Amino acid sequence: MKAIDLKVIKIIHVLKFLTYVVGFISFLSIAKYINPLFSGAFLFIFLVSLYFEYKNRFYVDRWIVNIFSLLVVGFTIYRIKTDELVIQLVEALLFIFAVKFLEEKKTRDYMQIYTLSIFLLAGLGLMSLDVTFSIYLIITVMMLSTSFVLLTFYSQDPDMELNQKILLKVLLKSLYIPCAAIPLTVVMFIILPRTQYPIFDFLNRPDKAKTGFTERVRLGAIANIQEDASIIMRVHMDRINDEALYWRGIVLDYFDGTSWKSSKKQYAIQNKPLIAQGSAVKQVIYLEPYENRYIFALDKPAFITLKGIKSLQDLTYVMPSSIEKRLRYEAVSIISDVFFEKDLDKATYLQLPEGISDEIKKLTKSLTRGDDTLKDIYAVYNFFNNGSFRYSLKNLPISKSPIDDFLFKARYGNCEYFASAFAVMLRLAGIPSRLVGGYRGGYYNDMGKYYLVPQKNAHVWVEAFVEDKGWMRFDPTPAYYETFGLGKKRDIMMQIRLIMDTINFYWNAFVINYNLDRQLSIVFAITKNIKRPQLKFNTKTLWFMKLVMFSICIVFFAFFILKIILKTKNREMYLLLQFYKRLNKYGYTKKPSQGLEEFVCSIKEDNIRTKAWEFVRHFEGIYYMDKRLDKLDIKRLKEVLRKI
Amino acid sequence: MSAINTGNNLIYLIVAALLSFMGISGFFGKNNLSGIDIEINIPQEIYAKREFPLKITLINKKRILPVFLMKVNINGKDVFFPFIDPKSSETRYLHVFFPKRGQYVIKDIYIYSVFPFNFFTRYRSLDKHFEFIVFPALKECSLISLYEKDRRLKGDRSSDSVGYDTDIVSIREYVYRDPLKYINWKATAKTGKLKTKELSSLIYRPIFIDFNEVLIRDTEEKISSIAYTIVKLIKSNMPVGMRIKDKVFLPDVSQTHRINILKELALYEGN
Repeated sequence: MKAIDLKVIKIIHVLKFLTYVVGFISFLSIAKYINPLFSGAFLFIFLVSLYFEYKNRFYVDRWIVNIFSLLVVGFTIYRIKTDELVIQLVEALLFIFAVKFLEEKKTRDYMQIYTLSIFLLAGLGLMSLDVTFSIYLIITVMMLSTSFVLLTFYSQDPDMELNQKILLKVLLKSLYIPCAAIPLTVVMFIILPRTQYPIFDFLNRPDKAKTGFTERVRLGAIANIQEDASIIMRVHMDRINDEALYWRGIVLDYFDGTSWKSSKKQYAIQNKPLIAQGSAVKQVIYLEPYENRYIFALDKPAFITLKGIKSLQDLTYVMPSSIEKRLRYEAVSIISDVFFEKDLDKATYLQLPEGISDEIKKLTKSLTRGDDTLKDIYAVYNFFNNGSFRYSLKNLPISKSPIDDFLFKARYGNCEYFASAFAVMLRLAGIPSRLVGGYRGGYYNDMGKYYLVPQKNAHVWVEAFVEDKGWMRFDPTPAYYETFGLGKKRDIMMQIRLIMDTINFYWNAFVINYNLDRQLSIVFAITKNIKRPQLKFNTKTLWFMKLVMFSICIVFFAFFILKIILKTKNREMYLLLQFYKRLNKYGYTKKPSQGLEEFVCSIKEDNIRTKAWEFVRHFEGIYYMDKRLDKLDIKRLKEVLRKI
Repeated sequence: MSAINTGNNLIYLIVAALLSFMGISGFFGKNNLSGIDIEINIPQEIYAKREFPLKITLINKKRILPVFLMKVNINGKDVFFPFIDPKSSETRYLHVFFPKRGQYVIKDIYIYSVFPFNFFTRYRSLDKHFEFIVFPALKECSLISLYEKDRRLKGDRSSDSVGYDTDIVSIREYVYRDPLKYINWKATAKTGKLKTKELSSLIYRPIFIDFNEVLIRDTEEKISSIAYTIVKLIKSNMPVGMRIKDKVFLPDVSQTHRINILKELALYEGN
């Protein structure tokens, strides 16, 4: 009997082991977000209870544990603060969780530990929106289901012992439950009823806002944004020409000599058509929270659908308050360098600070003639692009007269300097102009079909007003694609980052931003299809479906064939073939008429023959006795084979 | 539920996971009870007032899923099967005790399990029944000596069949494995070849028990005593016959004979 050889393991030991693992994983998931003092306390108590469990079998009395827990609850209530509510609750829970490990555990105590671990996971969900949550969720569900099954075994008979083999089977087969639960979870997640107005929204911690465009941009300030490598937005859309990738955000029109400001603007008249020529591009944008309320979209956004959004006359869009949470919105933009505006208040866009130096005025005068607006604009534009200026992010000329320093001393700067100087010079020439802040370029993720726009792509360009044409975009900053990561060769690290970002993108798109609207749209989509049962596919999809069906059939067919093959060509035959192969190397091939022993006798070399004999004797001993080869036999036979 | 109010999709995700987990576990719990068959092997001879083992085999007919933590309840007694592989079976023994003789049926067999989680217990009754007869309890008594006496008075009778008892029937050639003590040395010496005696076997004079004539007032005691006597006598190779009511069992020593008599006694219902 083989079963007797196997080690018998007590269920309780495995259960305890799993429970401690659950405990540690729960701790690990939230450790990042809580006070290190609590982390330390947890680890200490956890390790002490582990020590007690295995060395002394000593447990702390239940009443002590309960008093301890009550004290923690009291302390939490005492120090509670609304803005850190979740963290404090999680810390208290973690402490009670740790203390739970100290006592002698009965079935219900294990249940309590598992429940607490789910609460801690919920705490993680409230503290972080990261994709790592899903990993912890899956691990926790897997671990808990196995632990629950073992706990059920334990509750039937606390002294139950199972042999290793059966125990392993129990553990593995109990994993069927979470595996089957995962697809159902997805369905449940989609259909669970949502509300439009969350009541306990305050429990959700606002995301950490990124630095971004403010209403007042001091020269050199954008460089701070440009040092940030994190992602500001992801834009789901088709790939377009890199030249057109300007993400419009804020318009700055008032210059005080050192910084640009966005003056109070009027809301655009509703349904005012955007007059521009070009192709329309639809985008689905996921914007990370940042410090301002301006909403970004591809330049010349015709409209943006987002609750509470207002469009301004200068073709920018604002939210009522700064963006504290990740936003998802749809936008349609017209790809065009120009858009028309009637009845322009030219004075606003010709404003200049006092104390513009004569040198700038002189320079402007030398470049422009004043008869043709467009020609003048290009003349100034070419001045910046003739090679005497270079792009730099370091040691920017920050002073009381930064434009002068940039134009006549440093002759280098980042986009703000180029754009500011350009706009100031245009205004000096009597051409209405303004600065537009936003982002430039982005990495296109082919896997996820979206643009990844990092903070460092923050950019400022200029719009100049030309009579009869409208606002024209000019980007005086010398082309520096590399800074925007365009056209750069993608290395492996970048590939990995893109893969990770794709996962994150879908996580945000499908999980974090799922809401009532999308739920309703799914319902509509389904009902629409129900009304029209005759599905029409174009030939391409039809072919694809046929291909899928065909490959499924092939897979099934192959599976059955394989099963038959495996049945006939069993392990015995495999070993025998290996044996023939080995001997074939020495030039001995078994004739069909030869018996195994006869064949071995024909080997001339003594040492090979003895080894072959060993194999044959062993093989025949099993094969002709109608026994099946077991693992040990196979191992031995293989060893013999190796020596031949 | 907090999930509906916070609008936090991660809490929704946990709730969704827990709900589907509950649903799936319900399915697994239900599935655990399905595709199960039971076989109960009942010993051929069961006597009342004596514990004996029922061999219970639980068969898992499912293709993929094993059977976890299954309890089989038979006549109020539980047998526990912690794990049965798919397409396989496990055997356990249940010790049962019947105080009275007679016809019995095991029909209230149900299986139940708390799998997968110790929240609910699911039951399913198995539509199977097993009939069997419990023989009377064997009660030691003096009846046997009575019949022995009677038998001795009549004496043994040697039969024509060959055995190892008393009279020599013939002498034959030695065959390998004949016991040494049966070698007839005289004949061997005479012929120069090994010769073996062939002896006749003794047949005991049959004993006949008339149920009505046994003078024990309590019927149950009477039945038990007679059963004991018959079992004992047949064990020592003495043919026993019995008359009960209108039925007559002619004396015999065979196994079937014994069982038939015991069955009759088990089902005896008085006058």
